[in-house]
Amino acid sequence: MKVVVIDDEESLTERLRRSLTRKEHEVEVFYSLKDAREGLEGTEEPMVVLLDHDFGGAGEQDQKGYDLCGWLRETHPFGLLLPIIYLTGRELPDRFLQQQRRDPFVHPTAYLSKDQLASEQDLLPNLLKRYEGQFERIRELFEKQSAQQALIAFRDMEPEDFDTYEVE
Amino acid sequence: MFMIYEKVKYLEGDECLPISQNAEQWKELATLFEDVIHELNQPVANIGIDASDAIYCLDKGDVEGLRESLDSLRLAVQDLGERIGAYKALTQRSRSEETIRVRDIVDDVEKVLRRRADKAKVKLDIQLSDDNQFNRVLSVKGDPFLFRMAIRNLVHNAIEASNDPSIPPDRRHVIIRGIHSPSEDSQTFPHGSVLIYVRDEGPGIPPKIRKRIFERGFTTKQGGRGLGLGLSLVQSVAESCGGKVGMRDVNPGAEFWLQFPAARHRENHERRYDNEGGRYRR
Ligand SMILES: Nc1ncnc2c1ncn2[C@@H]1O[C@H](COP(=O)(O)OP(=O)(O)OP(=O)(O)O)[C@@H](O)[C@H]1O
Ligand SMILES: [Mg+2]
Repeated sequence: MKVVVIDDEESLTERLRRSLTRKEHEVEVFYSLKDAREGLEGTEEPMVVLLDHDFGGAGEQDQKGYDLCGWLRETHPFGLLLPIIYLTGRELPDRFLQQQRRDPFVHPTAYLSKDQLASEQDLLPNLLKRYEGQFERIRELFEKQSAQQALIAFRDMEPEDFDTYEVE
Repeated sequence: MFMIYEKVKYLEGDECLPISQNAEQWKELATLFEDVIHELNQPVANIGIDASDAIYCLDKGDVEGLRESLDSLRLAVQDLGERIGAYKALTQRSRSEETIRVRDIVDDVEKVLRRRADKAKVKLDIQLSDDNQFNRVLSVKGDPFLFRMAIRNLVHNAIEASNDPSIPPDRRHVIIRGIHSPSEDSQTFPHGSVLIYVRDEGPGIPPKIRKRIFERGFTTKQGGRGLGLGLSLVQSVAESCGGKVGMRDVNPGAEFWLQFPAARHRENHERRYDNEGGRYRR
């Protein structure tokens, strides 16, 4: 499964790269929103995106991960169904909820606060595993047929095992 | 769509803490917590990835991978330890009035704000004239907690101002300067004073709002990023220590200054070892 990691913190991206590669994912890392835009321009292939919120470290104070999220939703053929896992730092969830209400078509698929990466439930690996379960089929559809076909298969991928809540 | 947030409980609008007469303490705590969360999130995330990776390797019987992830885990824990160390000083609140070296205070502030500054690509430049012509170590008397808080708020504001998207990289530096001013005649500063300047080359402060910046609750920061308590806190610290605070225009940017009574002569004239001459001097 292809996992795209977009974060300006190298200590984190290197660790993610190592552990995800070990699980035989294909990992691609971008350190800034600009690089990600350039690197992902025109991409149609299925992927899971891990996206950070704050890119001040990359000199991008005027943009947030959110902006890239909107761009991906617009440009990638999977649109709203592209799995984007948003890694949040010190921001509180209510801020994201507000944003989500304002911009219902831009939001990430899941929010994961960075401190939750250390949780016993292994949230990130489990989330990825869940996507992976269907990923092969999607990839095949994508390669043999079209992004549209693969998109339909993506709809079945709805993680239920987590303690989650709906946003009205 | 779903969100993963098992353990985070968040406050609804009316549950939020009111800004009461304790606003200043509350604000200090809030900034401190925010700083702490900001600092600790990263190593905690790294530890999480490494630990989960180690367990994965163990299950697979991959000894080499296990060693690699444990080595990485150790580095992440070291990093966490260092970051926590920077906060230790902040928790030490003295009971008595003590003579404090300005350098120690500024170093503590630098430690807690360094990463924030790095993130904003802002350079912190510290210039303390400990070797001034009077051979006086810059020192003040009082509660180090309060001094730290005041200086930290000024430096914090300066970093935020420099981090404005309109500010180019070559203007992203903050200068923290400390000097001793000898005038001993005045009533307010019988032993002279210590002046601390915090200067940035950010957008500066528009004349229209200059009168109001020290007001409690005045902020230009949108979206709840500022409570407008920083400068009012600095002012009350300055007053409670018998000092003063002010700002002046610099072009480009802003410069805030704090003036505190210097510690008394005797205490102030710590005997210092003169490296060059190899003897003690006053
Ligand atoms: N170095 C500076 N450069 C430009 N403007 C400044 C600077 N320091 C303070 N200000 C202005 O003064 C206002 C009040 O500052 P103050 O520190 O009291 O509150 P704040 O920074 O907005 O919020 P808080 O400190 O409570 O997080 C700021 O909103 C900003 O407009
Ligand atoms: Mg402030």
